[in-house]
Amino acid sequence: MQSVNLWLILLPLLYYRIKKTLYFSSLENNCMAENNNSEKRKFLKFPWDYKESFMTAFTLLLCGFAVNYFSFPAVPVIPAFPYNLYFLICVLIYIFFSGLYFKSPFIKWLSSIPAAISAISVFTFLILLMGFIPQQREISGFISRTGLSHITQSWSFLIISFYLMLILGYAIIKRSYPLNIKNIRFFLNHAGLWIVIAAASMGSADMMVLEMQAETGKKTSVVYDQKGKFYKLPFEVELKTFEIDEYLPHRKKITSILKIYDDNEIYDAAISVNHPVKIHDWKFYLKSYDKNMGQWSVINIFKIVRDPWLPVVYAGIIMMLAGVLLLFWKTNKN
Amino acid sequence: MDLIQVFKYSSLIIFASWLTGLLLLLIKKENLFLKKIGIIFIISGILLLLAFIICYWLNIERPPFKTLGETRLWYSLFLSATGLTMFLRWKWNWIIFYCLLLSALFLLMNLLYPENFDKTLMPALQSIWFIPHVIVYILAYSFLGFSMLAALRGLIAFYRKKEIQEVTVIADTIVYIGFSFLTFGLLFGALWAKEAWGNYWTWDPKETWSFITWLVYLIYIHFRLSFKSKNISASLWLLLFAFIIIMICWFGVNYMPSAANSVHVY
Repeated sequence: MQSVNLWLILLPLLYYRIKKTLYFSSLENNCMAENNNSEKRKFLKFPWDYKESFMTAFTLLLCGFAVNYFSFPAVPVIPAFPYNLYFLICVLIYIFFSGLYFKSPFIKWLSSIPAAISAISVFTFLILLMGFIPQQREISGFISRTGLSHITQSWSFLIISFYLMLILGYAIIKRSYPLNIKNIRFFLNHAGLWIVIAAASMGSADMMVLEMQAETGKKTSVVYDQKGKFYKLPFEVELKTFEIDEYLPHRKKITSILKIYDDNEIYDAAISVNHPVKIHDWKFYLKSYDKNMGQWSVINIFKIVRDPWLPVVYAGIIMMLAGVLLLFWKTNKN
Repeated sequence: MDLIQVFKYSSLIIFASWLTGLLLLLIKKENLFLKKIGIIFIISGILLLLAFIICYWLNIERPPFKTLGETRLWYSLFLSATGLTMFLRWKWNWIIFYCLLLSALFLLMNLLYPENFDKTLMPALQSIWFIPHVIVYILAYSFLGFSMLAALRGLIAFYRKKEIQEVTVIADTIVYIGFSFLTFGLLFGALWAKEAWGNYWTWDPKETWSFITWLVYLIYIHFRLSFKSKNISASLWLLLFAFIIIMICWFGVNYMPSAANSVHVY
């Protein structure tokens, strides 16, 4: 285990060192190549530009629609832990090492702005479709078969996102050298976004959203998911008190207090809207109460969420926030 | 006198003082005294708007960030105040003219569609994220509104074959600031949603459209980095298009067939 940790530290350093050496040798090559670069370039001949980039992105989109059409009604499923983690590690290692061949015209193109713009544009196009077409799975027909009625669960969305992540990854690798304030800002913004998208999409497979019905005077540990499947929590819960406090004429504060029977320990947990409480790995959100009974309701519904990838997503969000702060600072200085 | 009456009179006074101020600025550009008087008129209009918002806040006993009309009030305030600051800082006459016109337009919308002043604040909105989330978004929208005005200015100059280098630099700077606020708003929204509902992203129609807005400005930024001094008119058109997307995200979503069950419809 010790040696694995050591490798985790050494690998990026080694990588950085190799990149630095290759970077300078490529600079020399570029200077020589610059002189005979004047003739007009043929389509699909490297170096690739906007035409090829948009063609690639749209081809991928159409492939996504086609796969969706022929595999209907199956939807792509993101594998649960540990396979999603393995997948992410494989993708990272692949980008990391193929990034060393940044002199190859293909990798160069993948990390270029035209490739980035084409990928973002096609992705935007897909999300625009989502903005116009109502997203509900029940609709049948062509719209449903191509996945347009459930875009976030369609192959086209998955393929374009993956393409975007690949390009983003290569762009991050490309700018890992030299290390200056401009590149740090670039890294925080881009790597932060990469981490957020990767952890949120891969982590969705491990996220459990359950519900529980808690009553006064009745201990329970039974929870159920959206499909109606039942599970058992490792502790028992009982509704102790529930109150609707109208402390201002136009503001209500709804609080319910749960009594938790946890092994040999018994304690209270106060939960209100916007103030969830974490018990073990489970976060309790107050969802609803018996509206007919109002303040005297003896049954509360709780939403219970387990999201093991959350710290990773938050790490990405914090990186992005820091990167955006640097963006401000830069523009204010100019 | 009820709030709607107060708003009617104060917005008419604001219109009058802004109009007088602009006329004084335009009549004789060299006359410094007239210019000063004009600026004083504009400032007093903005201060009156601020006073109205404060009075409104005290009256409704909750932060006024909930309804569309309230967001429009804040938008007019921020737009006119930042416009004046930019005018004083860089001496561009056109920017004060355009932005006062735009904020007057948003005030006019509130005059034409007066809202019922609902005082309740649902529990989900009682969060420390509520005010920062909305303020940051309104700031973002006002800066991006500026970038649209700059783009309009640039396009007019472009088709008259005049110098546009300066205006594009201005547009870029403003987009960077606006985009930073936009990213903050988006991320704050995600953090808030996690605390309130347990999901940071649910593809609610408003979320989808604000994500589209973010993506379009992302395209603009990369487009400018790629072309630098080439294809400027295309990038300016892109800014106009992006502002239309903002408008859809802000008002238009409510009328979309895809937005039937949105938590953001207000």
